[in-house]
Amino acid sequence: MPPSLQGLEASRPPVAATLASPSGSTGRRAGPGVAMRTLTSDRVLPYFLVGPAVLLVFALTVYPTVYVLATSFTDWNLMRTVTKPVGFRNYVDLAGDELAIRALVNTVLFLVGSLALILVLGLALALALNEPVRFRTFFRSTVVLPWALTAVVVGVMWRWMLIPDIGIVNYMLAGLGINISFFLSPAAALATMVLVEVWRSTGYGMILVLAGLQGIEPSLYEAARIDGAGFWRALRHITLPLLVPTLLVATILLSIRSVNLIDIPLVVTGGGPARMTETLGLYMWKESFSFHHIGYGSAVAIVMFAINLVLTVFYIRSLSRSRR
Amino acid sequence: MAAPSRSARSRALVHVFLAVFAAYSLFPLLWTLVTSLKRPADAVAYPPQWIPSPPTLQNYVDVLTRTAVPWQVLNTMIAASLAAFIVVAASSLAGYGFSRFDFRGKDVLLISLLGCVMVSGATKVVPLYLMLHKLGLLNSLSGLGLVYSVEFLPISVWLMKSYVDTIPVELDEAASVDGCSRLRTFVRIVFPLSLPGVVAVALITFVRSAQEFIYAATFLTETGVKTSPVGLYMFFTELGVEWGQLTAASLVVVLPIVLVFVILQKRFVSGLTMGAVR
Repeated sequence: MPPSLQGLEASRPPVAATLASPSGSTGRRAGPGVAMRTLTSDRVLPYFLVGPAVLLVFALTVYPTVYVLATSFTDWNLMRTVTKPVGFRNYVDLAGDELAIRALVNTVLFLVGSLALILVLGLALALALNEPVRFRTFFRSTVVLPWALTAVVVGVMWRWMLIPDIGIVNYMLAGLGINISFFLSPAAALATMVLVEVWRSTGYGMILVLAGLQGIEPSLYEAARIDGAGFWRALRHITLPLLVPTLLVATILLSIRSVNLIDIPLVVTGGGPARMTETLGLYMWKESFSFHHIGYGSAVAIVMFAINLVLTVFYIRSLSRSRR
Repeated sequence: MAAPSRSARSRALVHVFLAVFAAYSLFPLLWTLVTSLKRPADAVAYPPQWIPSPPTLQNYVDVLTRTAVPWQVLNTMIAASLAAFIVVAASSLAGYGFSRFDFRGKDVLLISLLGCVMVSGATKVVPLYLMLHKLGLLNSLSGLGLVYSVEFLPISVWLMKSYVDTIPVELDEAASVDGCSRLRTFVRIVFPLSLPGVVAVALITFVRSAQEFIYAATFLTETGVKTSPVGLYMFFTELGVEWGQLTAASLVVVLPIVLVFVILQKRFVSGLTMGAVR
């Protein structure tokens, strides 16, 4: 922490020095013309440096967002040639659309279920791997590995393991006299989706928590040990309170991910049975590209955008608070 | 370093917990590997065979010689490399600019970049589709690479800025005393010293772009340009899927990414945390 802060502070003086004393140490070798050039180029150059990145991001983020907002007030349908403005009708329809409400509920259930499991398991793993256990690197890589797999492959693996009748999971459960139909009822299918997401993303949660753990001053634990505190008391009174900012950031990052997730629902259940496990993202994608209701799909996208916006505000706030 | 030490028994429990979780993380991959080595009839046999007997590489031969999967893997690599290249170029310049210069609008730009990261994703699919259509970049790997780069640029700019912040500014000053212009200072000093950050940024962009599905499925509709996640999804949703071939294809698709990941695991992990916590 200190070195990076120092760097930040130290990055200012040289510019000021050049401005204040053109004949100072920087300008010793150069004539007055060169000093002048440095001055103007230092004013213009930064815009050229940050320009490409900023313009590219704004062009492909701000413009599309405004575009979606505008489209959401039209009845644009790819199968028809005429498009006309319809005011808030898409939003009114959305409020009475049972599938859309179902998708919203599913998104919230998916979010809460996967988030809780990822955070609890990620915390437990991070605590274990923050200690000098044997094979630490192996365990850490193994737990993070699913995060590096594409969602489609994750879907193939789990669909194959959970396939009715011949799946390996039910074969192993048969020994206990259990047989689960993982995709038959909407509730089971949604729970399956949560479990697959937890399998894939726990390693990511673990890494976020691990970064927070490594920022905790070791002397605090030293003091706790001298005072005779055991592991659980240290966890409760030192680790968890100091991890609050990290857990907050992890919660928000994982939430934003879950709200926008399309691929895991698509490959695990495809939204089935009978469109009962679609999430907002999947519903939006199907409306736009399978049913060609671009206007209506855009209204769903705006609802998702609003949820993202609220989460983002929390994110930036908690970041600036944890910096202080 | 560690929390107060525990008894030998709780230490053993920690190891059991880690071992169980590692097995849980690895099992789907191992079972996929086992299935991919079976003959078609053995793959769907019940009770399942734990060890393929006899093992066969026929599924891999079929996938590599009779399907488009190898070409789709190549397409994925092209789009992901292009994205990584754009991100490295743009974010290292911007990181230098944000770290070493004071200019009007700097803080606003930095915060709005962070805002863009959060807005990105699913909500932009429709307008991006139309923009690429207008630019003639639909069904093009460069169009896809460009879109991917934008997904990872904001976080990369932040990462590169905090990386350049840690490089002592005295080095810049020394270079300017020696007559280096600001741009030369960047090329000769700042960029080489920020190489670890550059590698982290490139890796995250490459690996995450190579996994991406929704943009690829929406923007690439012609057969020749499909990326491997899309190709695999079509394989997967076909009727009468051949599980041996499908599992073999899955492993062919993830192998390049898993290799990159295993070899550069440490950098990847540090990049993930840097990007998230700063």
